[in-house]
Amino acid sequence: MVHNVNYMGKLEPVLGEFEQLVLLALVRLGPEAYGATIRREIEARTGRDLAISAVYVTLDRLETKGLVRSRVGDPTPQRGGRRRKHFVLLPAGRRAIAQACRAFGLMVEGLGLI
Amino acid sequence: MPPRLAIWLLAQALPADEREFALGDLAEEFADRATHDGYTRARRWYWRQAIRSSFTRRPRRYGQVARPSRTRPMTHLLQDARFSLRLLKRAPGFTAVIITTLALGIGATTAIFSVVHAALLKPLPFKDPQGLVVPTNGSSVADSMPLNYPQLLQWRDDFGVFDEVAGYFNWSATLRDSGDAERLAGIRSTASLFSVLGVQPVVGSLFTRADEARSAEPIVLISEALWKRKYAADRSIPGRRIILNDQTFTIVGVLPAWFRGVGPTTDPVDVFGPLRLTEQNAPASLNFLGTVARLKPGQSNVMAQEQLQAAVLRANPDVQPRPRVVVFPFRDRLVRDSRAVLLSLMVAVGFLLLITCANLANLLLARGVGRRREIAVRLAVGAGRRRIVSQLLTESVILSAAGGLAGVLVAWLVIRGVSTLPVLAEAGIYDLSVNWTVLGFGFTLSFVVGIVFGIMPALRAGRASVTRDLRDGARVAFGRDRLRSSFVVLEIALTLMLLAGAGLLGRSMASLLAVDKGFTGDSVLTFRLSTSQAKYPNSTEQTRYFEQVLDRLARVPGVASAGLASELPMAGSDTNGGLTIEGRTFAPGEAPMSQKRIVSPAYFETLGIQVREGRTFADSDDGKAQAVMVVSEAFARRWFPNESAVGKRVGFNWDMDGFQTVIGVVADVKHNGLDDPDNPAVYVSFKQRPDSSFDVAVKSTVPPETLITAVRAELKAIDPDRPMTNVHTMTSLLSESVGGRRLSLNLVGGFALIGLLLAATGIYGVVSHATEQRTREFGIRLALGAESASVLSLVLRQGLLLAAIGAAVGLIGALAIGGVLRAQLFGVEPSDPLTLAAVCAGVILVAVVAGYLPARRAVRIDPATILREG
Repeated sequence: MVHNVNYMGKLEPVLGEFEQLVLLALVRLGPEAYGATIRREIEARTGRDLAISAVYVTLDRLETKGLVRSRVGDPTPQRGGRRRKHFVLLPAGRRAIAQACRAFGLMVEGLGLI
Repeated sequence: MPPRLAIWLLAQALPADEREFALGDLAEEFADRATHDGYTRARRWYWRQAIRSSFTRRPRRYGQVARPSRTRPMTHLLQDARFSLRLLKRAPGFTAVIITTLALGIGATTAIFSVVHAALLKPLPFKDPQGLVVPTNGSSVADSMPLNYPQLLQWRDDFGVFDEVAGYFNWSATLRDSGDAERLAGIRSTASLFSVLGVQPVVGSLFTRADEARSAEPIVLISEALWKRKYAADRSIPGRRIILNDQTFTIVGVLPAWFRGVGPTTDPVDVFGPLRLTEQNAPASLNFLGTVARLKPGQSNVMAQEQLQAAVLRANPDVQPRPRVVVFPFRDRLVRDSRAVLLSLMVAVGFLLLITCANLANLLLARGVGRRREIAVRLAVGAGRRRIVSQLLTESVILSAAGGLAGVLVAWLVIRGVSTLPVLAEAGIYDLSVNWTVLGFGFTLSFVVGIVFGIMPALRAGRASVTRDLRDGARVAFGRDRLRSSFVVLEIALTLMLLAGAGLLGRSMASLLAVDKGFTGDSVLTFRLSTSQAKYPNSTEQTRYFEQVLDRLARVPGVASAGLASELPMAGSDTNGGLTIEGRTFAPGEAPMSQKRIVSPAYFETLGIQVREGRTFADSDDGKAQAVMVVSEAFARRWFPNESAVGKRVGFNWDMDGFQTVIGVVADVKHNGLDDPDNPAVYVSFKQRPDSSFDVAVKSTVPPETLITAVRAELKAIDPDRPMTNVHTMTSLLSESVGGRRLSLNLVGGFALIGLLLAATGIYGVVSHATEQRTREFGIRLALGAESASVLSLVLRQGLLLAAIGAAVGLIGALAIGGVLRAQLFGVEPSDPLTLAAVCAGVILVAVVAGYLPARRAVRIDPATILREG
């Protein structure tokens, strides 16, 4: 019985499409990852014009799921004296996105869609 | 710097734990974009971000039942707006119906009120328009008669009743400049006209009193339109010479574009000249001068009328009958008979707005009932009543705003559509634009209705038992839908009144078009020709010119006959005057009055005017022969009731001396409109009573429009400087003569149909809602053996009852306000039983159909299913 409960805890979280995009952006950006850069990275690569708060809602969810961690930086004049919130990918997050990519690749393979 | 309002909006919308970072990110990116894409595009981007971020959906976290009251109100508002938009999107039919209803209601109301406002309420473009009055002969606006020249001089110079008096008469001038001769509308006036109306020239100067003398050098002012069209807005135009009516005039100035003339006119006036009259060419027997005067400060038109009346009586101690004068506001002259039409349209559109509001209330109430369960759930899980009210309020506001905006669009489109109609120009409407006050009124009204009836379910929810609502869901009606039913009754009543109005106008139109007008207008081309004093100085030459015209026109292929008349029927002008009859004397005021026409022999044949007795003019009835006259039936009946008019001698009294012998009687002609009474009329021949200009009627065997080129060529061959003006077909003149009626019929009819549609949705809504609530009852009835027909009639009866009550109320209303329409009716009484009965039947039929749809659903219930689901 105890075993079962542990099993539940270890289950890889299921990622939404947008969550996948945000996680991939974090992989690409590394230490440079915060709201604005993440938003721009996704926009530049996919052409999707995102609302900043949509990015934050997703990051918030990823943090709740234990996939990313945030850290508040220093205020800069460029931001009107506001602080940055940096995001770092946690090992669980890296595993989850890798898993998602693998699954996606396996499903796509040989279909000639891309 | 990003737009401050957008920052503020975002600050309200974003949750506290995200606000600083998100704003920082946007600020950073904004700065970046501003350097690369430019400031404008960066701003646009920022706004898009702000709006989208404000509406981002946020998942609720567990355990967060109701947000703590610390949350900013703006967050609530945005949340409510989001929720409302989602709900409205989910019920597209409901949303569309509400927005369309409001758009039509507000749009139509605004458009019509704008027209009425422009005609009746808006200040005229003239200086201090309240002080402008029309002093003239007569006892009321309706029977006023123009002044003659000696009168004008006396009123202007001797009486001192007014601050200033101006006189004018319509003038038409043929401009020969470069290219073809062009006919221009003009007025000749006293110099005081411009100071009375407050008109200043754009270029050059006005004329002075000295220019009014016959001996002064001829000068004119031209309109800004003509200045731009012909003279490329040349500012050095004063001093330029132009040829009008074969005479040289010097242009002294240009009048501003807004000044289009004095009276109601379809053709804007292009040339303005001084009077240049003498007591010889304008004797006291010619009443042709329009007047406008400015009251002295503090003087009312009633006071002015008394003073003027006294002055006139003093100046004419021996004249019998005693002359009467009238002074009425200048606006009354401009608006004339369109006032009645405008007022009834305003009533009609007011009804439409009321129907709109009733329907809106009805729909919102119906929706509120459907949402009782949702509200109960939200109350049960801890939502405050204020939150629920604010949610419903937001929804109503969004709906009303959307409807209102659509209404603005409708109003704008309608006004753009009607602003070019000639009917408006005739009604003296100078400039027509959307009236923002009225728009605001319609908007506010729909807002109030939307809000009141939108939040009613929330207010009720507080009273009702939450547990009962949760248990029963939306199945149990509150009360008996009495409120909704009364709205439906109101809608039906108002619709019936509108329909009755439309029906009466329609019947008037039908009887008008069926009226015997006394002439046939098919295949007749009409236009006007004028000679000029300079080129045709005497009557012999004038007559020769017109004889040539008739002669050549008759030979154009496709022309059956051609005739002249001083004024053609339906062409918009008329001459009336007193006559004398040989051997009779009349008490003052009792002398025969009659329409007077100068015609050519072929005129009666050309217009198909029937000869009742005797003969009409022959070519031999010329200046050397005995002076003869043809009279109308009405004239013969009135003055020679029990004898033949033929052989009697009557004095035409308009530039003809002595008596003329009546040689024939012709049918009565409706001259001024199809609703004209049979006025007495007398005719003389143009060969015995020459004139300088005539209306020409050409009866053709081909479509009359196709003759225009050939006719123009013939006229040019006779004299290239006599252009044909006012070219029409008799058919189009007839159609124009009922244009105002047709417009108001179409508008009232359109409103009535919209009203009917709204009322039908109202009935449908109430009946179908009631049916849904009684589904169980019907199931049981059917299970117990009730005939489906009896259930059907049960439901139908409800719709019928509403319709019957509504119809009864509407009928009373229609009878009560029928008088509003009286002035526009023809051959039908406001209480016309046939119309009212037909309209009632129509409304009830619609009610039956609207009720039948839900009723049919009721009888298709499978009793077993209902009982099982119990």
